[in-house]
Amino acid sequence: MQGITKIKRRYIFMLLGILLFLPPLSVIPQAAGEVNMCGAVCPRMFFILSPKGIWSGLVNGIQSMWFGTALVGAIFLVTLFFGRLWCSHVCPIGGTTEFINKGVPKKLKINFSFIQAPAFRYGFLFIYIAGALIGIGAIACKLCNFRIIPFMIGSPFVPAYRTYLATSMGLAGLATIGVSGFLAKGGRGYCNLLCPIGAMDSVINFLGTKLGISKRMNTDYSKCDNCGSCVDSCMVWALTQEKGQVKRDPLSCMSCGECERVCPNGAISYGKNKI
Amino acid sequence: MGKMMSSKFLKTIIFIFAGITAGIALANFSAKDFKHASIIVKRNVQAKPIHINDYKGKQVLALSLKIPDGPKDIEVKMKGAEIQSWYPPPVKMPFYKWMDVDGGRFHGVEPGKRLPLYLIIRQAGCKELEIIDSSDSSIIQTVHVMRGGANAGHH
Repeated sequence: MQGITKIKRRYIFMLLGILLFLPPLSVIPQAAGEVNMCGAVCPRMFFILSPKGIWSGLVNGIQSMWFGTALVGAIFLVTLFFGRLWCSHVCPIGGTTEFINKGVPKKLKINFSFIQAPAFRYGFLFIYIAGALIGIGAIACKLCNFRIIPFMIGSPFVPAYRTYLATSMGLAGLATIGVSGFLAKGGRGYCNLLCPIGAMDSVINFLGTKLGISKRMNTDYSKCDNCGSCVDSCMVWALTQEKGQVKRDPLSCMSCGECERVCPNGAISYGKNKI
Repeated sequence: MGKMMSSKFLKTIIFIFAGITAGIALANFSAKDFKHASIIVKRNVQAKPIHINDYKGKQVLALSLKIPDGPKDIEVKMKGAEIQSWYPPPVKMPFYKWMDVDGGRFHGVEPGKRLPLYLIIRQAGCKELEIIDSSDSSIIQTVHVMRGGANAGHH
């Protein structure tokens, strides 16, 4: 029962995140002098290593994307002590994909759990951060979920958003977020594999749990009968059954509480516990 | 035990490479009908030309325009192109420092404000983008938009 209340609270937070960050209101971007999550509000670019100079590029990025930088700093701070609450409870982008995913018939959903998410994620993150520096090219604005989702939601109101979405770049972005987000089982495939903030946030979460300062989802194995309900409910395939025991990957767990909700034995709870 | 560990390690390596490959594919992804460019507009400074694809269909040039010490009223013009801005936001918040936007015309621009524009180019050939000070109709800067790669000339 407590789990159900927590899930309802999470949905309310996600709706609030969508209302505050995305069109048509875009309250927070407008407070920072922008109209959506690009420019000063962009949280995805300031840490990219520039071939023109790593340090100067970083300073430049922080100055021009000051709000995005502050937002990422706040996200990491919250994660260090309370787990990945931004990703699971507030992120308007992940929230939108998760909500849309709920309307997709079960038959159409793609299960990406065959992918070892942390390995894929950090391989991708390496190119994301260092691609421009090592001469491969930049990823940041291409198929950016922080552009596609606001443009998608704002497109009935702003002709320029429709113009972007109708280009090959926009369509490729929609296809990427469609397959990895809307159609992925749980709706969080993009978050788990391709989002650079999610990737860095999961490292902070891992450090927090290792140091024992972060709250996280815990399993009381004396109550667990290994039924596997939690494994099936996990949006980011962080739970696996190995040798008759459920294991949780702290590099993927978002502390969303879905596993706590479905556990028939009340074996899962959220709190402080060192790995 | 050792066999399980080694298969897990192998899986990790495979997926790290899969992530790197996906990253490289995305970094090299380009659309023939879309190009993004940033310009810092300065008076009396020769701007670098922008190269768009040598593709005959409709192309969208996404421009992020920054005018550090520019005038408050600005007009952006390009013959044979439709200009759209991301502004205005669908719902204007009372605390938002608002500027008036009408196609390529901006009134009440703050110095250094980023102006995101989409230029929809339907005609063939190279173009000239003019950034004009609306108060006296003087040209602040002209930017050449050329079709083809970095070696393309005006045609």
